[in-house]
Formats: sequence, C-alpha cells, structure tokens
Amino acid sequence: MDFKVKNHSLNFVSKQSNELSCLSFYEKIPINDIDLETLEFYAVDRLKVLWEIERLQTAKKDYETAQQLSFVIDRYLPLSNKSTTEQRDKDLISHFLLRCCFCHNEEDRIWFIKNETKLFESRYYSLSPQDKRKFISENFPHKPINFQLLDPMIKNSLLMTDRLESKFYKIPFTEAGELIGSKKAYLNQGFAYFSEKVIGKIFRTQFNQKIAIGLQKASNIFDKFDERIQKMIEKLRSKNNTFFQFGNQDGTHIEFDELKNKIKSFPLCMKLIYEKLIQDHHLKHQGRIQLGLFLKGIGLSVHDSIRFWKQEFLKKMTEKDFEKDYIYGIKYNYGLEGKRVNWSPYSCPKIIGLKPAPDDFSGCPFKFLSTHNFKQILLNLEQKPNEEQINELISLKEGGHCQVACQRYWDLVHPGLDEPLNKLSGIEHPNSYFKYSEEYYEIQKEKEKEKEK
Amino acid sequence: MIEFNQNLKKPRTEEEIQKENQDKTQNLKIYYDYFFPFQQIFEWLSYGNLDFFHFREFSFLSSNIIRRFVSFENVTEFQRYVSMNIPQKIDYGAIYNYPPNKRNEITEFQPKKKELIFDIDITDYDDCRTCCSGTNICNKCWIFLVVAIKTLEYILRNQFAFRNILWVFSGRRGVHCWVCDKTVLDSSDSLRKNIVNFIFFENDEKKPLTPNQLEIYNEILEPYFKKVIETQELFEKPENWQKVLKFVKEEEIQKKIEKDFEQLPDSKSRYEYLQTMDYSKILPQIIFGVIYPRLDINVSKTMNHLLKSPFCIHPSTQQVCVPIDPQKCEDFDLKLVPQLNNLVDEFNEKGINSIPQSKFLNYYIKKLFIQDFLDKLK
Ligand code: SF4
Ligand SMILES: [Zn+2]
Repeated sequence: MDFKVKNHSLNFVSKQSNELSCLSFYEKIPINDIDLETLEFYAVDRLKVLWEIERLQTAKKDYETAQQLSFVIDRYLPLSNKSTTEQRDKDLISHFLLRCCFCHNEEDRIWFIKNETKLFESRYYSLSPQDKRKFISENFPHKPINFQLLDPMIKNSLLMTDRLESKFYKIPFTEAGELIGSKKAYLNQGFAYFSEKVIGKIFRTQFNQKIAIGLQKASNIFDKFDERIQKMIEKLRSKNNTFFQFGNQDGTHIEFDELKNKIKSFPLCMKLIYEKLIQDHHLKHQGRIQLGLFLKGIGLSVHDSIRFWKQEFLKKMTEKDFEKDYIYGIKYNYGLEGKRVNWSPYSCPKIIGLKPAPDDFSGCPFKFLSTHNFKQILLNLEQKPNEEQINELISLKEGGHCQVACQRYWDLVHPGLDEPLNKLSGIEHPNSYFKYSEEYYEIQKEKEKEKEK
Repeated sequence: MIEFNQNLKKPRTEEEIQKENQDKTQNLKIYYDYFFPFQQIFEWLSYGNLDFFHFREFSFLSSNIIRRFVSFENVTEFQRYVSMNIPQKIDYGAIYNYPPNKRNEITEFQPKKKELIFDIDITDYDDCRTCCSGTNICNKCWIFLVVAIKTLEYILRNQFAFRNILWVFSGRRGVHCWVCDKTVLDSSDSLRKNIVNFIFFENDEKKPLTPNQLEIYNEILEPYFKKVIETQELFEKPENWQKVLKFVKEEEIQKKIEKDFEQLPDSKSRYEYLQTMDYSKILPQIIFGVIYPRLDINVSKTMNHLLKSPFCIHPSTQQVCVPIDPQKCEDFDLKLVPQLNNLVDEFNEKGINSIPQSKFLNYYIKKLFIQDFLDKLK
C-alpha cells in the first residue's frame, strides 16, 4: 500500500525531493499519509485539467490553446521548482490515482496517455531556462558534443538549426524518437544531431512510453490499495464516464428545469434555433443536431434532452410518432445508437460551414442573416448598442469575420466588466461562448452579494 | 511508346480465355518448378534464424482467393505448397510471435519484426506525367521512378546508414523497396512512423527546408530535375509547364512566371530563368513538388502490411518482378524485363539447359539478388 489514509490532515515525508526538478516521469510513487477527501480532490482536479486539454485540442490556434492551457494548469495543478511539497505531491498522487482509473481498457489508456503527454509537454515548455537545464541534466544522460571537432558539413547543417553558442548533442537515431519524425534533428550516417532547444521531443517520446508501461502495471497497484481508496477510484471512474455521457468537459450538469434560465447565455446561433423551435414546435434535421449537440455539451443528460424535445414537438404530434421518428436521433447524438460515437458539439468553423436551408435557422447567423435582419436583432437587444457599435458589428459581419463579430456581440450583451472575460480574438465554439457567459453571470451574482453586504 | 495495358487487346471468346488461363497456369508451374529461387528467398527471409522463417506470414493469391497467415516450417514445405497451388501472387508479411497458421492457439498474436518497406507507384505522378496516364508506363515516365530510387537510396544509406536494401520492379508500374537492416527489423511501429515521417515531404510545408532536405536537393533533386524536364518535355509547351508551375505557392508569382515563359524561346532558357536570383527560392518548391518521391506512407508505417515477393509474376503483365540495381536504375528498360512467356518458351525449346546461361539466372538472381543483396546480409 502506498498512500496511507489517515483521518487527520496531511503529514508529509519526502521533504528533500524539493531539490529535484519538479517535472518527472512519474516513476516513483510517493509515500504519504493523506486523508481520503484530499485524495479525491486531487484526482478530480487532475481530471479537470485532462479534460480541458482534450477539449482544447479541437480548438484551432496553437498559440491561444497554449495560453488557455497554462491558465488551466496553473489553476488546478500548479507546478514549478518553487512549488511547495504539497503542490508537488498533489501532482504525483493525482497522477497515480488516475493511472488506476484509466488502466482498464485500451480506449481509456490511449486517452490518458495522450492527454498526460500533452500536460507534460506543456509544462516542460513553460519551465524557466535554468529549470529546463536542471531537468535535462537529471534526465538526459548524454554529454554535449564538441562542436569544433565536427565535420564541416555537419557543422553547417547544425548552424542552420541553432546558434553556435548552443549545446549540441549526437545520439543514435533509434533513440531520437519524435526528433526524427518531426524533422527537428539532422541525420548523418545513422546519428541524430540536434540542439538542446529541441530535446523536449525526446522527453515527450520517453514520457509517452513510460506512461504506457506504467499503465500496464497499474492494475497491480490498484489491487494493493486499501478498500476505501479502491472505492473512491471506482467512483472516479464512473464520474469520468458521466463526463463522456454528458459530453461536456468540466463535469457540470444542467437539470431540465434550469434550462430556461440558461437561454440568456446561448450564443446567437443557438438562440435563433431555439426561438424557431418554440415558434414552430418543430425543427429541421440540421438544426436539431446543431442545437442537440450544443445542449449535450452544456451538460444536459440524454434523459432531459428527450424531455426537452418532447415538450415542444408534442404540441404538434403524437407521442407515438415522436418516439418513432426522433428518439433515435437524440440517442445517436449521445453515442447511444448507431455508430456509438460520442459526437462532439459542433465548433464555430463547422457551424459556419453549414449550409442552412431557407427558413431553417441552423448555421451561424453572422453568416446567413441579411444585414437588415441582423440590424433588427441588434436594435431589439436589451443592452441597446450605440451607432458605432452597430456599425462595427455590421462591418465585421459583412467582412465575413463571423467569430470576431460573435465575440463583439458577446461583449455587447455582457456589459459592465472591468476587463472583458475572454480576451481571445473570436469565439471558437458555441459551448465556450456559453461557458464564458455563465462565468460572467457568476461574477455578476457575486458583485451583487458584495453590494448587499 | 510501348503500352503494357492488357485491356487494349481485342476482345476474346470464352474459349480463348479458358485456354489462355490454362496456359498461364501451366507456364506458372514451370516457372515455379524451375526458375523461382526458393532457396535464396528462404535464406533471405530467415536471416540465419529458422524461427524467423517459421513465424513469418505468407499470403497467396490463387483463383481470386487470398489466403493470409499461411506459414511454413522450412523451405521444402514452402516450395511444395507453391508447386501444388500455383499461386498468381506471393506476398510476405511480418514475423510474428507465433507461427501465423497457428495464431488461434494464443491470445496475443502480434507482429514482432518486419523489414521497412516502400511502395512507389507511377500513377501517383499522373498530374506531372506528359507521356502516359493511369496504369500505363513507358521508359519516359520511368525517370520519375529513377529520381525516387536515387533519393531514397541517398536518405536510407547516407542519412540513416542502412546497408541492406533491395529494390524490386513491381511488375507493372512501380517499384518496391525492402530495407532489411537489423535496426529496422526490430523497430517498433512508433520508430517506423518516425522514420517514415522524416522521409515524407509535405507539399504544403511552409517551413524552410531542413538541412537534410537541402542536402538531398543539392545532391539528387536539382541535378536530376534537368533530366526530368528534358525527358518529359515539361518546359516545351504551356499545358506541360502548367503541371510544374502549379507548385509555386504564391499565385501572383506563378502567373508572372507563366507569362514570362511564353516569351522565352526554349526549354533551356526557361530553366535558366528559374535559376535567376529572383526565383532561386521558388525553384526548390517546384522541384520538391514535381519529383520528390511520392510514397504510399501507410504501407511503410505499420508492420502488418504485405508486400509482393521479388520474382513473382505480375498477374496481368506477365512480367517478372525482378530486382533493380539502384546504381544503374536509369538504364532499366521496361521492354527488356523478363516475361513469363519468353522464359517458358525458351525452356520448352532448349529444356533445362536454357537456364544456366540465361540473363535471368546470371544477372537477376546471381548478381542482383545473391551477390548484391543476400551475401551482404550475412
Ligand atoms: S460564431 Fe460560433 S457561437 Fe457565434 S453565432 Fe456563429 S457559430 Fe454560433
Ligand atoms: Zn510514359
């Protein structure tokens, strides 16, 4: 047994570990006394990070993804060489707990390895230069080569990749892994030559392999755990499965009854489809999928989703017809029928690319609405925009910058922020629009409370 | 221009077809019994270890049925099987952790070793060929495959330091490459993927050339490009040079070059024009686009892919899949590739004595397969 569970609070053993680099390949299991709730709290935080990584992979721009990612990591799993022992332990312990959660089948293993590797990589690249050197010296057994002694052709080739002052290394290509695949090393007679700045790729490959091997052994670790921890891990597993089922990433659920209050956070595309549905008690196929997946993404369960569609559709058809024609499609969206793929909610680029039929409100309104109708919508807003704002939005829309327009629209309908919540240039996903909006209303609520005090 | 497309022949009657198939089978039997180098193939595939042979997947095509996961304990079994079934095609797969024909006896049946293979097909160059298209091939378009062979040879030998490489004509319109070095045999799928990604060139790469790519450019691609232009007459007329200039990424520059090309008198001056300072950055884009080897990378990335055996007879061209000397691949003449009919006709005429002096035995088997390849494996 490796973590001892105590009923009182934390009690740490491994103090001297702070001398070592904070990043690790997770080869040693920490020995600590720790209480069960803390364990669970650690694991859930890590799960949140991994899910966020998964979600961001669908986003397009690398730079923004990196920024958002380090934001999430700092929030839930901060780690640097200055980190406290507690932070370091949180990282190690949560990793080993999740290994036990994800070791049971191939699909889980692949998912875990993929996202853990991303996490590792992101952390590696945000190390300070000194910390990076430290990590390299601890984990990379090769000495830099003497540049001056190299063959002139190799010298020239290396100087195309980095400055003369850098350290260069030479290893057999078979050990260079992704450095080869990504063409970051110079290959000559079976050896890979490269500068220190790309060593990260080797670590990435190593990390990947080590975690894969670790996962194969993880079920043994699991068996040795004390029963309470085993139970907790089982609970985590099912929690992770519900993330899957609800299709959303941060694990929030939305109850059917809450839905009405959430409409104000819908992006314009979803709001229009929703209004169309309320008006016609019916929706065409494309709109059903677009809205249906979005609702799944914000955390509506299959069960509630069926209730939601029924509530409108039954105003125009019999229950029997509904069951016959529509239940399948709803379950399909949740991966419970047909191909059994847990379809992700459509991203903005996907929605913008849709071709809505006339009078079908699917697609992105910043693309398909006529300028006249668009202006009408703006004028009817509760948060009256001024002339300048209207013109800006219209010109963005006419320029085809749907996502940027959508972003400005968000700013418009969420006034009163000291600093706009989301500084990115353009909305990436209707579900992130929703998320930012929810966060906004949270903050507003807190402000209200403050005022009352 | 010789065309090897069988469909161009006049339609045949049912009877004729039957007769022809019978003849083919008979010829094939003679070929397998007297020409096919079983012993040498065995020596190659076993790499000095009988288990390697025994655990190797064989696959056979006969009467339109493919049988996969066949395996043999020794060369006699292999030979007997082929002689009895007279397959139209023989393929080799990976070496597994268990004899493939008994794979149901264990739960984790997995490939363990495999040569690194490449498959290059002339049809992948259709957008740049000016002489033929589709399954047709002639000595003029062979130049694309020459460049592919030279380039891969350079990468595999000079950059990766591989030594045991076998090139084989695929029997119709392409070439196969078997890399048999020990480091490769043992490499995991992930290392394989990395090797292949290293070699593969993405055409929309906006990145500057890597030092290794630059090397290939200077050593192989640029010198050969002139030959390709000449042979394929790529700079002779607008519809030809459009095939080349489409690789210029900036549309405006492409338009400008097209215009200027029309003003220039001949192919040579057009090429020189591209070499001027203004376009020295554009030329690599074009050259990589047109002649860098176009690989079917999925064949190379995983171990379980099959590849046709050297010395097979191509089912529709009747040509022998003979080894190619990479040093002399420019001189490889499609018209001179041994054909099943010719081999067997001569055999029928002169009997078994026809073989000892034949080019088939002395050049393709003894020189290219044994001396240049097999002996070096040991
Ligand atoms: S930009 Fe995205 S979220 Fe905004 S309306 Fe268009 S599709 Fe919906
Ligand atoms: Zn041709």
